[in-house]
Amino acid sequence: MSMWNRSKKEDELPQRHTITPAPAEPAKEAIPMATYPTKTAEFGTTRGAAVLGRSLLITGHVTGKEDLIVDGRVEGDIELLENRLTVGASGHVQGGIRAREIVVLGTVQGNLEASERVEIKKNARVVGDLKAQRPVIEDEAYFKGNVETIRVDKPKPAPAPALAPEGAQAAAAAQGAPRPVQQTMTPNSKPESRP
Amino acid sequence: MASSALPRRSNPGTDATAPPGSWRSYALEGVTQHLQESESLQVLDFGGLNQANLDYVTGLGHRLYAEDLLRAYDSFFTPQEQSSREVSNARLEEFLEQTFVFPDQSCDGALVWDTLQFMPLPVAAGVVDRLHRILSANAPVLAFFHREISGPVAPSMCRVTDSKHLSVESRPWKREIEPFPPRAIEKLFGKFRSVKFYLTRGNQQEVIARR
Repeated sequence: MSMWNRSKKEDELPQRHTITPAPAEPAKEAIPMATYPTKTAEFGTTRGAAVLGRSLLITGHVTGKEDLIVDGRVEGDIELLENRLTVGASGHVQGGIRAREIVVLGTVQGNLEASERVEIKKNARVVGDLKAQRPVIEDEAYFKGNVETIRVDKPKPAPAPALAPEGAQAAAAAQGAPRPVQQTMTPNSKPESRP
Repeated sequence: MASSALPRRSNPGTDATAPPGSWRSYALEGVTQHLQESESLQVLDFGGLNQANLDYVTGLGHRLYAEDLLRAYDSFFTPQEQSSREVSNARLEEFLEQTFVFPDQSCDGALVWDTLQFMPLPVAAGVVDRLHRILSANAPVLAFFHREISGPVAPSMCRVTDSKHLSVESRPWKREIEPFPPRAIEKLFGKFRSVKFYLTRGNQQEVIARR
């Protein structure tokens, strides 16, 4: 037996021993493929989202606590305050939408209000007012209405301790050193115009 | 109406502060100055909304009303009306009522960009007249006019990059446009208190009219 053959057989041996037969899996039922991916980079995670199919029409108020993808038609308001609503390319919503996140690829006739983000994708059509913390509108999306951003007040940082004693600051001022400018921005304030 | 017909040439080549792909716009500067001096204004953008303009206007704490005026025109008027470039007064009034849903003097500025030139003169005049009605006193209107016309022109997608600079891209279609010499522009904005002209890159006429 040559050295090469021996080593080859030795390499193969552990593999044979480690291979264990897989337990017999129960027969799976045929599950129809979802038309939406479970995860895409574009829309984020849509795992577990309920889908309203293309041929479905709902008339009335829709509310719930799970993500929803509308590929069909909804005539009425949709309220998913803690979740994401996606209006698919073939989706049509005639009514107001309130959700944590709203993504529109289809058509919406009604106001959109999101506590976080609203995304209106290319070729989407939205007629209504939009209110969100982060409105995102792609080029060539049709949008008609008012846009208003929701401002979130960040907690004010604690005042920084003095870096230098007052005497040193006074000496620096006397030497003509530029004084630090402190400018506080509040949601509706304008930057101060300085001469 | 006071008008300043002397063109003021902006030279993007000497503007070191211009962000890449942008040029200085003196007319835009007039509008942004107005926006920075006041709070909670209602601003109209008729060029088809884009993220840059949305961020700029809402970032100053104002509300932005967006409408793609050219798409609205295309979807409202029939192909026959568009090709003949003539519309009846009743149809024009219907279009204006549907497009400008604001009470009188309730808006504080309008970004019209180059949309007026892509509509027949009676429609453009109707739009400007309606703007005069819904804008508040001293509110600015920013409009562009292409000067050299040789065949169909692509409408512009204008993005505000900062308070003084714009980047402009062509939208993906072209069409015939109305020629607007300075005298015609003055006449178009005849009801406005003042009209200022600036000649800018690409030989476009920038106009800022104040209500």
